[in-house]
Amino acid sequence: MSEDRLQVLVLDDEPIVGKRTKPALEKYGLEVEVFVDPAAALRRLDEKHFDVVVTDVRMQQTDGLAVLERVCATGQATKVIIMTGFATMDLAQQALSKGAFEFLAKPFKAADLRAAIERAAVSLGRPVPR
Amino acid sequence: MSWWQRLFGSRSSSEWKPLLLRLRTTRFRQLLRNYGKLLWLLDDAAEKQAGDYVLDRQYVIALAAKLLDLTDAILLDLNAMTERGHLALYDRRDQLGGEIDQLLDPGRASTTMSPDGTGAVGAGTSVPPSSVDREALSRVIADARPLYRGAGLVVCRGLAVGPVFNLDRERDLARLPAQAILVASRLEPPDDASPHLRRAAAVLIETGKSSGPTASLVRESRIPTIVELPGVAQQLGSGTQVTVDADENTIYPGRLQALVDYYRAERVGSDEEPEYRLLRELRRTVFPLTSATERQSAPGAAGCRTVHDLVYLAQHLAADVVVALLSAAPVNAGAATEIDGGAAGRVRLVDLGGALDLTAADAAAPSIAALRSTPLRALLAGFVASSGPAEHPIAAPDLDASLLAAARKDQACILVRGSGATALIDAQLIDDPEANHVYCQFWSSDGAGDGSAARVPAWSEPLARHKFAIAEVAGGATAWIDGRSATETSALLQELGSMCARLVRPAASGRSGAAAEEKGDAGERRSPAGAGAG
Repeated sequence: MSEDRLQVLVLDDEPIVGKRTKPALEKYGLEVEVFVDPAAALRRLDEKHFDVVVTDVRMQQTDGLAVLERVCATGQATKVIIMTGFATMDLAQQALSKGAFEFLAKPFKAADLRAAIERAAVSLGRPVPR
Repeated sequence: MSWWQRLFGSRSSSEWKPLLLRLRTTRFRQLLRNYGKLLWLLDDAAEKQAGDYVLDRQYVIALAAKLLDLTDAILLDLNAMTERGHLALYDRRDQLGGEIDQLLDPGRASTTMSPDGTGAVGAGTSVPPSSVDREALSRVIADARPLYRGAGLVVCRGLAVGPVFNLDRERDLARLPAQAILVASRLEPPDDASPHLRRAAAVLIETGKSSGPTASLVRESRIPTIVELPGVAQQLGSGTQVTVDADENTIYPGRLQALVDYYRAERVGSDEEPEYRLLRELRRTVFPLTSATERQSAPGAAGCRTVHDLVYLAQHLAADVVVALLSAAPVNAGAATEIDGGAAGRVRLVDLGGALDLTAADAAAPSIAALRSTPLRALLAGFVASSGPAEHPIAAPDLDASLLAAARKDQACILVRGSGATALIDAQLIDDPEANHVYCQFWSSDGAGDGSAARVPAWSEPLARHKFAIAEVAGGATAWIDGRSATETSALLQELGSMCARLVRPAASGRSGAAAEEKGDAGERRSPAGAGAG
């Protein structure tokens, strides 16, 4: 049954981000997995299909844009939402040109992330989370 | 002698230089823009810390850097305006910067629920995660009909369930039952209210703000709190059971057991994570305006305990420079023009470019009709509209002008003087909203401690309604707003003019706040941390 729910992966090397976003998404019926280690997140992406990947850009081990490229390279129907505390027009353009679905500047409200994920669900033809 | 002194003469020179006023007001405006940015950052950080934002450590570090950069820029402008007269403020800035660095050093992450299951929900109780059916939870939330969703401002996050205690109807906060949801149209708890307020499981208020004593108290006590909820005190009567999800800025009728179980199991809600605690500590180091109570015992830079104290003092000292120059502008030598402001009294104007259009008809006795400065005209329109008949002008009897202004076509710096209070207003009004701003600083002429400080809320409240960023001290305050359209900025200036007319009306026993200024002395104004900052 859980496969019917929108599958979301959240990646940020600051644990607080996953800790705050997970309940805010789960309460509204999304299936959420949270990672602080980019390598572990990439391994999980090889194992399981996610509808939406939400990733930070600046992480100590891996650039979030590399995660974006990796997801796009699989050819799967996965939407990537980029979040960053260093939002610049350059970075946004770079992310969008590489295939990012949306760009979210930190700090953000949980409701803003949910709205972005809802738009991704619509784009994928998946049921919109209630 | 510095190049400044060679160019403009020494500070003690009695010769008045219009160019100096032009340069000072331009620099003052630059300082104010940074001061305004800093006030907005303080407000914004209070909102970010409050509740439903996701932030990280990088945000806190970047915020601290921005605050210190703005402080540096403000101190630079102040010292340019005063011929390096306040270099000592840099020492204090460095000390405060050191405290902040220490706070952000990487070397350096509870709430309970009553046995019957009411109250704030946190990490104190545990239910195995497997017992929480997430699909059932999302169905419950989807089917629930929230009383409020996203309507208020979260001051402290968390989840709470319980019966409402409506303070408007019950009246006595001491009767608040433990673990009740406190609901009120407004809440200004007296000093002894803390023990009562701490019994609340959650707090819901129609007005209120994300900073201030009440907000600090609920955050310290980790009480889920939402303010600015329109009509909540009318809608929720005592005894009504509600579920307050302050993480989501949402209030549900009744008890959402699935949500309560989820919070318990996942340990989300009212625990304060290290990043939010760090932000709270940063705000404590930077934000409180403590100089108002400390200025007598610890004057000047040494009395500035926080970054906010320091920049408040700096903008105040910069304003002193402008006020002194404005007050000394001679009419006889042609530097200033006297205008008949009707009910606003006489207006003494230094035209810095395009502020005045004197035709042959009114050159001898110019009136408001000759004014071309849009911000000054807007302020005067509000002033005159609230002043009553022209035969009862606003100015105190011993003043020769109620308003002093240095203006251009689209900019104005205006000193409004009366018996009870004095105001300094600076504004830019053009077609580009990004360039528009309104700044005002006002203070009771009679000083704090004699009841005149009570005038401050009368200024602050209407400005807060218009979303000004406000910094208050006893007997005075500053306010800043920018980014509004020309129409909105003009309306704000008219409102300010109207407030000036009401608040500087001479009292029967009042003392002129500007009597000293008439002699070229701005000493009636009191610096928030004393005058000896240099």
